[in-house]
Amino acid sequence: MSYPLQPQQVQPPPILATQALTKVFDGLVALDAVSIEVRQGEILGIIGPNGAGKTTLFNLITGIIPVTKGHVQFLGKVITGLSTHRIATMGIARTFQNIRLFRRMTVSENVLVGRHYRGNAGLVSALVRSGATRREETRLRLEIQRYLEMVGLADKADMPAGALTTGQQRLLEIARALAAAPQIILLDEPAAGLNTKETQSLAEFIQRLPRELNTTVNLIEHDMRLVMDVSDRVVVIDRGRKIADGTPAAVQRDPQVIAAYLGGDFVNGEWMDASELEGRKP
Amino acid sequence: MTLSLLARAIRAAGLAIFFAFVAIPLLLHSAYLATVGIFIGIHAIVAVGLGLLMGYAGQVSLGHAAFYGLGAYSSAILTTRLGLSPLPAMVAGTAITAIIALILGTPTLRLHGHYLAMFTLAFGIIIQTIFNQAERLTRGTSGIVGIPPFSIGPLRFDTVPKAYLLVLAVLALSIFAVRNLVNSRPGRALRALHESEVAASVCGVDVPRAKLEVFVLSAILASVAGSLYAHFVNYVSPVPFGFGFSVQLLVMVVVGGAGSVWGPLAGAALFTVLSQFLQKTGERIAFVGTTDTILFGMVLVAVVIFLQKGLVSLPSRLRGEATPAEDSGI
Repeated sequence: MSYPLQPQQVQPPPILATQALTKVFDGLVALDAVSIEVRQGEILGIIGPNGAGKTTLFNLITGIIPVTKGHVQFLGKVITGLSTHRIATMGIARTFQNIRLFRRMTVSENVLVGRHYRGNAGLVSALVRSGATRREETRLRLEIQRYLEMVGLADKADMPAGALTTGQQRLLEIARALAAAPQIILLDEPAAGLNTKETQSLAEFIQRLPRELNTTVNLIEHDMRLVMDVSDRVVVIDRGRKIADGTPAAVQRDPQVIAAYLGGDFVNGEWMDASELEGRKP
Repeated sequence: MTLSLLARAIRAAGLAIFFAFVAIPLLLHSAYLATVGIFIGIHAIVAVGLGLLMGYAGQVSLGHAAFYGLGAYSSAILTTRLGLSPLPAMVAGTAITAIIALILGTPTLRLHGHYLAMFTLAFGIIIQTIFNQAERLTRGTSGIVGIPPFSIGPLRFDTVPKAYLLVLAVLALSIFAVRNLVNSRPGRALRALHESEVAASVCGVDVPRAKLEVFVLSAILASVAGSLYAHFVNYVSPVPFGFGFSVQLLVMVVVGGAGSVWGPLAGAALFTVLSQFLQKTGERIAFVGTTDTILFGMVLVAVVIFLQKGLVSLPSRLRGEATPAEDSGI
């Protein structure tokens, strides 16, 4: 059997796209006309040196800071200028580089807040604790079990989030984001503060998301091995500009990318800057 | 969790004191104690609402005395002038208060920072000026007399013990409702946004709206308490509804502990009992009329320094649980 066009060669439409997205902070250009496309079901890695504008990109997409110029499109609709909670309810979830859990709330309450907009109970029905409210509460508590189990925190459900280890907090933040059943999840340095073993299980976990939850992943990460292992495609941002966009293998060979990392080199799956390379030479 | 004997004793003592307070005025047939109980209850209804706003939405209102006054004056005017029954008058008062709170809160709660505190401060001053100056409506400084006792149909709360039970019932209902709220979906959203507004909004929580709802709810509770006050005292004048009382409410919440339902209740009880005590004995001490201000100031400073989560955090403090300094949340 042969078809003129193999189905897997048809590129799915982008689920999320930015068009010449620009952010200027007090005259400082943090992000300069960056256009990216994230396709349905893929894992897109975003890398770049510190201060390149990666987190700014996520903050613009999620409406946390206002866009200076350019547009964000999600599922074919322009979402630039919408409030953060509106964007969230459309199906974009995220985590934070500096973990932002509700530390005084329990693990399960954190995930329940993540599932907030999958419920309807309002203030008045909550005050009188109506039957519908109680049924919804039971349903929500049941539904979040899955996410607690996915990240292996089901046995810590009643612990305050602030009492977890850094690794567990990162996982809880991902569970909180996933509990919204988002179309896409933006992960901002999920491996920061994790040890090698934790990073490895995180990589396996991230790869399960498109398959098991049908969630597209957009990942900012400094751990090069993790990004290159899990990403279908990698975008490189340097000093606010996009300098490369392609498969992990192609990006690693890109001279502009190599130059951006201070003339470093990609050795044994790790980016090395010049000084580190010095030490390794025989 | 194993409580130390001391903490357990304190908790038991706290509950015993609580029920004693509830029962003693009735058992002793003491109109004086029941009156103190009524004022504790009325203050507590306002404080519980203000505690919800401060402890869960992280916002401060400096105008809650005005919402309390709006409830009182609405009940007073609607019953004495228009001949409405107390219950519909109370409902109308809460509706008026809710609409005003909505108008005040909508623009201010979209902004970051303590704009609500400034707006409500100005609003409180305006309202008290209206109570004083709009003589044809409020009879100015002479106030409105002849407000009937509260009644629901044939049920009249026209004696002190009956009024006491009424206030207790409304307080219990308020606490029940607020506790329900805290443990519900909207309540979780509130606690979440108090810890991090950004994280709450990426979870899909409409932060300005959630804050607005709590602000309106707390204004409604203040208005209900004001109506109860008007029907119990049978007289309203502008004096109790000024900026001073707004600050006193704030002190009740902070001293008792915002961020719990019982904290504001404890604060209201302590405050009311102390001010009664000082009224009786204060005149004998040198500083006439100012003893309460001085003492409340001292209590407030002590709480802020030594017990940042208020009186209700005392048992857990005695159990030796560390209470780390709160991070700013954003």
